[in-house]
Amino acid sequence: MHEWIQVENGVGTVGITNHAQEALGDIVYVETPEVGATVTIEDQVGAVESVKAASDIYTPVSGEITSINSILADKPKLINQSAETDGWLYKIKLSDESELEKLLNDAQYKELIGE
Amino acid sequence: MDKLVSLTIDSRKHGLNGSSNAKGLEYRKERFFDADENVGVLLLLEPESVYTNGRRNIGKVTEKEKKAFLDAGSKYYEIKRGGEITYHGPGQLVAYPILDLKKLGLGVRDFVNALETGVSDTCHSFGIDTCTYGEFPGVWASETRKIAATGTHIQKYVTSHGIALNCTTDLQRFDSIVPCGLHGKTATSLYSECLIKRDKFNKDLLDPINVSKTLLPCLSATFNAQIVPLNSLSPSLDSFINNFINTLN
Repeated sequence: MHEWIQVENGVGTVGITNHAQEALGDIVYVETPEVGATVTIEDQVGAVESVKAASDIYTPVSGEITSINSILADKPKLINQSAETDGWLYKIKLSDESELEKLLNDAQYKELIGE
Repeated sequence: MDKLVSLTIDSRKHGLNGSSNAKGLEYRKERFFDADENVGVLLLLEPESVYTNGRRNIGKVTEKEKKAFLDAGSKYYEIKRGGEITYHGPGQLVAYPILDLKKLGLGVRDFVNALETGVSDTCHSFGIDTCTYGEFPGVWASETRKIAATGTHIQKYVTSHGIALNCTTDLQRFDSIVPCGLHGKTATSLYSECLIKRDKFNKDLLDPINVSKTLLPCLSATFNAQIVPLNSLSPSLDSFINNFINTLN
């Protein structure tokens, strides 16, 4: 699963990439983390279900979950429609911003997926 | 061509089912990827009688319902696969692939399609027409009769659980549930479909372990992978798994 994160004032918004949603197919169910939970980089924090396959989601950074996208409970297909904007999964207050340095930037990711 | 190893388990001897005990193997899955060319293991098994429920229904089944399953001689498990409630039991063939999708270069939807197509081709070999509907995963013998149900879990590109094809399954076991949460649909089996076409059919031909011999080349084609018996590729891993299974009882 490929996740993305966008950070503003120490709080990151996390979702799955458009490339990931294409590979998954129609998303019918989304499991999001608990608000207030403290998570460590690469912890499993949720899942998305498509074609009867539950794919685990792993957090790209450590921190505390500050909010989740509650619209997804009723409209999981929002991820298919706009994975990298309205279909975000959760917001996280980063505990170690240096973890961001290990992630791929937009250009590196596009190269990885061959775009 | 990728290489996939297979292990056919006569689970009737071992009391193995596709959801709980196979999990013990799943935890040891790093051992499956020892060989460089190896993309994973395909377990083929005939499960013991068990109802399993998917991730989104965890904690939603009442104690009364659970007791009814136990009273009927079946176990009940809630597991982290996709999909909803289903029945597994004798007469069913479960294909449980533990594959590295990254190594295979397959997306999740493509993986499930490959499983469904392999099972469809197997049904065709027994003279049964099938169809698939994007909206309702699984393999269908008609719009309302599902012959094979899928439910999988992907953790860091590694798959678990799989697809269950009803060969000679006791279909009455599905009457107490709404399989996969789909109202107005029923379960069917290879045997039941063969009987629609002909009055008589030799049930022994549809024994799950026998059907697995047809399923193997079909999955080899859809995954574009050479499937070799585990003991020929890695005798040590084969003995590790067999020892593991033997310690279950």
